[in-house]
Amino acid sequence: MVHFNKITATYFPNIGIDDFSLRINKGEMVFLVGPSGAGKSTVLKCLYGDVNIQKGVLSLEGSDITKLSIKQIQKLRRKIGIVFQDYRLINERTVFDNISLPLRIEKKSSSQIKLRTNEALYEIGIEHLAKRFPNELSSGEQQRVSICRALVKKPVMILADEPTGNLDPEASIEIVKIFERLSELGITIVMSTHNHSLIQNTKHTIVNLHLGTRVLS
Amino acid sequence: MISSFIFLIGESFKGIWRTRVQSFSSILMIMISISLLVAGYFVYTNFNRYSDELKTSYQMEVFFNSELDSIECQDSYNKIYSFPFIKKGEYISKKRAGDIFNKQFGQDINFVFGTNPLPCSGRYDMVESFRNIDGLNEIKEKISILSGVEDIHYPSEFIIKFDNLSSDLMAGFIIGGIIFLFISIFIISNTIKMVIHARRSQLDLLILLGASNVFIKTPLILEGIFHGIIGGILAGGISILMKTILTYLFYPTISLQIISNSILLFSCLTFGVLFGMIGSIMGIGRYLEK
Repeated sequence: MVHFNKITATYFPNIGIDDFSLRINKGEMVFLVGPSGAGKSTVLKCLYGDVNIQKGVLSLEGSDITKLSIKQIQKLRRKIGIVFQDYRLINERTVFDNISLPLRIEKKSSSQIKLRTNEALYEIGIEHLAKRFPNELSSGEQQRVSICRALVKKPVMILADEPTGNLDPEASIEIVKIFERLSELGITIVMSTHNHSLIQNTKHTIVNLHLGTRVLS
Repeated sequence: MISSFIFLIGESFKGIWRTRVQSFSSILMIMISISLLVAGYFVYTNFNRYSDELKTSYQMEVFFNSELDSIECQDSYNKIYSFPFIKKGEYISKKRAGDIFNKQFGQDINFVFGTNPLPCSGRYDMVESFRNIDGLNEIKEKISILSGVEDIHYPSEFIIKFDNLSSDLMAGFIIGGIIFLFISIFIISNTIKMVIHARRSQLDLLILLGASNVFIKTPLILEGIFHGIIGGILAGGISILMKTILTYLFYPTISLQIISNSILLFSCLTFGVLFGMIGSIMGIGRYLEK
């Protein structure tokens, strides 16, 4: 499904990835592990077209991401769910409105938006939070809302950049469990973390990064 | 599609409320800019009115040869009167000229000089397009070659000075107006940039979620237009008030009846929409280019 073939993407001296290769299958769950500045976020940014790739080929479902136009990148982003460390929720909107935003972008009808958003809320188990505002929620709840927003558009892949970075251990485990469940449903998950304890006993793929290169799988 | 459009309109209204401080300054700027433009327009139109009124007093006096008899004088007068650049005229016979002398100097000209030496003449008003120094000089050239014409008088020095003054003032109004228009749009676009800056994280999120440029730009442009509508209506209100007070205080010295209240309000609204739209397009242009 995803193939990084000798990708080099650097945006500041010594930040980014260099000659990076990786193959990810559909429905696979991959953890990108490494210290800060190792290139974890760059790998994710390459996948949603937010960084300039200087060398190599990056294919997603057969098409080369490095050759996409801005409009094609916008379309690509609509197929991918992104979860951020800082959740990036809009505090002035309710949880329901935050989650339905990707569907608004896809110009879905009001009835479709209502149906699909309620489905996503139910899938993540936060339907009781629908009418609340993000700043009324705990960190763990906010991150679950963020995952729900990524899930609502039925993405082929979810990219999570340090999603447990601001969470306590219990909430972090809960988030990883949600991702595992989504992976079992056939959604490819790529998650970056520097929390080794979180993935100690995982059966999923671990990609170790150090200074922009893959060091161990 | 309709629900998407309704959503975008709703977003722009919510945007105004979310960034109310910046929106307020944008609306205020639009209101001030348009009110000042209207004030400038009032000054310009009143100056124009005075200038036009003054120009109607531009008259050309043509003196005919003293050897012509009254019938030949009348013929020469009529020949000039028939030119298309003459609007109206007044024939002054020798006798009438003598009467004018008597009235002005309080003495009988026949008694002073023993005879009436004054020639017969014609006083002419020109059509509007010839009420300037170039037009008058052109007329003079055409008339002076006619037989029987002795001399042609008009207040050329005053006309030159007044023409220069009015063209300088007009140029000043136009240049000042254009500069002011650019400054207004610049300030409005910067205010919209502040609105965008206040919502930067939200716009960045939309970009990462794959929103198209149209989806991101539309609410911002609509927001600029709404700022313009509100600012335009307020400026219209201020202008109507300004017009009413000035008319009450200074009528008929200052006449602001040239433009009706409904046209004034509509013009302010149109300017507001234009200012808001241009300002927001300029404000968001560079942001999305990044």
